[in-house]
Amino acid sequence: MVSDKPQPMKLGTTEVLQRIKDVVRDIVTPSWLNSVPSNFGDAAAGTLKADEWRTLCTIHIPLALISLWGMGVTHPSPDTAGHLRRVLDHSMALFSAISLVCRRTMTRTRAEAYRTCLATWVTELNILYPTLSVDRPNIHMAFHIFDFLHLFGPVHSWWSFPFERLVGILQRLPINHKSGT
Amino acid sequence: MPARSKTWSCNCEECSIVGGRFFLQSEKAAHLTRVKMVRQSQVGRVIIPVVSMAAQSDPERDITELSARLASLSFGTPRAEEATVDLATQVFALTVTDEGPDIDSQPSKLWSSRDEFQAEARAPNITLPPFQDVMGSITRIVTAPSPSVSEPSHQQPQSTREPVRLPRRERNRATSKALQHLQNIELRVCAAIRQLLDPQFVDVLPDVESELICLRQAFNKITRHSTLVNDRKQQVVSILDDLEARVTTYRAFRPTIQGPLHYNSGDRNIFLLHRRYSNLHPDHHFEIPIERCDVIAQVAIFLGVICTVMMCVSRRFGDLIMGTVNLMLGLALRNRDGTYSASHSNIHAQIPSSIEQALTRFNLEGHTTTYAVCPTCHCTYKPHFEIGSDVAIYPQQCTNRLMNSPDTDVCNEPLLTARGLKQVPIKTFDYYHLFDYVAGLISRVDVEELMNNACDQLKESLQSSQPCFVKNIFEAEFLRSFEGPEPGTLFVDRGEQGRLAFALFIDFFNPEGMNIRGKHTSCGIISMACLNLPLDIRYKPENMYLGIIPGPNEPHLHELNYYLRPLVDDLKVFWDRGVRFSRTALRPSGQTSHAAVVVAVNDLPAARKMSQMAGPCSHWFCSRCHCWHRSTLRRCDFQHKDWEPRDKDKLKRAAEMWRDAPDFKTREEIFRHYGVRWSEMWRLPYWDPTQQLVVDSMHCILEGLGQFQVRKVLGLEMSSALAKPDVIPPFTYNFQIYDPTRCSRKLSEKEIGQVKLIHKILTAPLVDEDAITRLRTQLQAKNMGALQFVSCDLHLQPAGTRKSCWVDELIAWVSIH
Repeated sequence: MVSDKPQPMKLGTTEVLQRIKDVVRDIVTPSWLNSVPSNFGDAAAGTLKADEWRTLCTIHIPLALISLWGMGVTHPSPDTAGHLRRVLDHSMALFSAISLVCRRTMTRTRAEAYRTCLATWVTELNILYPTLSVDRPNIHMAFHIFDFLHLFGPVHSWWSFPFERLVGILQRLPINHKSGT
Repeated sequence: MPARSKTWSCNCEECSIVGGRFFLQSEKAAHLTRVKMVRQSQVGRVIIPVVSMAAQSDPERDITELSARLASLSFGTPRAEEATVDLATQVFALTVTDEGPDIDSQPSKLWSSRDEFQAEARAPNITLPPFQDVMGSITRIVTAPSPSVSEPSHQQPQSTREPVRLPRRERNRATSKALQHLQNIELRVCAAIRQLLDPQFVDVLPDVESELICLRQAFNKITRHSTLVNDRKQQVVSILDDLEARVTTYRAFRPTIQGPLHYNSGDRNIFLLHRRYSNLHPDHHFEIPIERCDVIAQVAIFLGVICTVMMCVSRRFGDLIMGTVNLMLGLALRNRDGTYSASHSNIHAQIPSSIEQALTRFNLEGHTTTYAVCPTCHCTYKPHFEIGSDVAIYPQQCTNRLMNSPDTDVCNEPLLTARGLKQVPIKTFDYYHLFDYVAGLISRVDVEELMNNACDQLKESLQSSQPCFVKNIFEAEFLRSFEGPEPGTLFVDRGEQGRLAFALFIDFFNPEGMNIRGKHTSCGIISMACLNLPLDIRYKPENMYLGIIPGPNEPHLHELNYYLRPLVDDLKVFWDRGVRFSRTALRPSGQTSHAAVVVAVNDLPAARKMSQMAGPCSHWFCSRCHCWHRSTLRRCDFQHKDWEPRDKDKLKRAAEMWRDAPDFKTREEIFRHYGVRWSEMWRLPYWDPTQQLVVDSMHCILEGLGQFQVRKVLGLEMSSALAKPDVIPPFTYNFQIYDPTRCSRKLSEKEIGQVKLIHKILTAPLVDEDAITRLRTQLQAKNMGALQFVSCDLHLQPAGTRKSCWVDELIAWVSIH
């Protein structure tokens, strides 16, 4: 039996990771922007916090990927170039959605743009990565954020950052390691 | 096992006379019953005279019998064969004529030693009292009204000689469980009646009314039919009716209070709601004791409090600091001769010597109620207080009816443990009073102004259409159209009242921190933030409400309801009646306020726990729309009607059905059909989880989708970057697996492993020109046995016997495919 599926191209190479680390190191950001770990991707970096994911997904990673896979970059073959461009557009759809949802001012247009970007991302996900398991409830719930943007405005009033900060304060309180019972 | 003996020996009184008797096993039961009856009759003959005096059967006949016996004793005609009965009659006679000890004539046991007492005490003179005295005492006892006595045990021997044994139905486990439920209902009714004895019964009347409804529902759920259960049910229903009658009477006396609840936040003269906290100064939001202290004392107290609160110094070291400062200032303030002037002595007296006293000067503690929590089922119990006492009284045992499994059973776990001389709860939940938190907020001038401004600005902007650029939750659609407690008016149309909108948050965390082998306990937090405040001060810890759910385990499924219940009770009052705070920063005469939970912010698992809807990994994965079944998780057809919000009233009805279901099986059926359980939040009239239970962007988008895209989809991690890529074989072939039982050729362990590798190599893609050379090198490295086995399977015949010939054949085969 012969199959003619193309071999999946490995996207996350050491070259890409190195480019991201270079961007993190060399970029000049405003002082109010939180920093991200410079050893991104290594096991030693640990689990990233949500705020760090936001900065990476909206600033550093798009810059790195565009510089590697965007216009003006030469590739070994036209197929590779086409495929990488498609992957880049797909990733940028999600990064655009993230960027839109985190805005401090919300309009109807922005909310609709968010939902459109998200729908594009989910559709292309099924096509580009058929073998990947993507049965996550988060994907469905992200669509409903559109409805809540209309009802309650920008996310800063109804996301859990400040409450998680309170949980952090509680966790840092010194205790005597005895539970109540 | 040894075989059971066919005979049985008895050594009772009767059989021992003849030196022991042997019976067959079949006769054993009958003989034992006869022995028991004989013994009972002997005892009965002693007790009968006493007990039957109070029985209502035939006192005259019994008195006649007894008088005959006494007469025979008194007048000296004892009957030797009834010595025991005579002794009993003698004792009885002495008892009925005894008038108690004569305190004056007895030597004092307090001041004299044991020997002295023994020497001085007179030996009692035991003689039979006069016959007339005895009969007089008996007559007085008989004619006096006596309390009812339970059935005397002598009835049993007079009945048939068959063994008394309850019917099977009465001995059934279901019957005993039903009886236990009825017992618990009775205990709770008695507790409710005691609560009504409280002079301030108006406070507790709503609690008792809701308790009565719960108890009626629980009573109606007991459907077991048996004689014992039916009798008990009649008793319980009579006391339930009695309680209902009392509640109706009191309610008629004090009709339902329509006006707002009064809360004392500053003025002594207003009616006190929480008088149990008399140890806390009622003006604690407005008058802080530290302001009345001298400057030197203020600085000293401030130092101690900063160390404890900000630097997290322990209590012992806090005491050390305060004690040292007290000593130091004492030494500094005294005169040379060691005395103090009046003013210095006054200042020194104001400086506390312990950190606890220092903290009370700042009034940092809020009003809390400590609930007792069942360690097993997490059910919470409010304390109640005796009149005039501050000692909290909790029930001894948990009376919660569990329906976690097909056997519905009462929990019955003990709630209290002994600590010193007191009984304290094993596990506690401190509920921080919502009214106290809000009173604290509105006691600050700037905060109260901001809260009122938010509502006023929104009300003004209602004249025009919704702004295009929405910056705040108070400019968005929900609050613009949110109806207030009075039908037909908006929530933000406040008039002279205060209107507060809150965001509610629940989450669980590990207070022990991240340890690999450390303890994994789980605490919960219930937090609220006031949405009227602007973003920059809204989330400051001093402006937020906080409650802690104790560990070490998270409450399971619907058990979170027990912790939410006190908060929802207060939220309901806040919405339905409003609360009149006796004093605020801008209004010394007070203001009435209404409040609502406008939005509930949680991560996905906690959101489902709070609203008691199905989990995000189940088929009911969405709490807002009709989308169902995990296979449809990837759908993005958001224009479809399945994406419309579910009907809130239907969900509420399903939740109520779940709550009122009689057994575990029905509950599971309802949950499977609707995906919803009962949540305390449904008690709030405005609660709509399809609108108000938001999806948290932080967890969903940033930590969820963003991370997924970067790490899984793009694979931007060092571990996956360094890993070899997965190879999809360009073709597959049905190679024969080596089977040692069938194959004639014997291969070593190593060769068996190599057979599999050769299969893989042969089907690998040939991506470039060097692939053939690499293939040859790889095949050459394998053992001859393995190569021969694979070649034979492929029906290949090499030209020669050397390994390279076999390799060439295999390469030729690959080239063909």
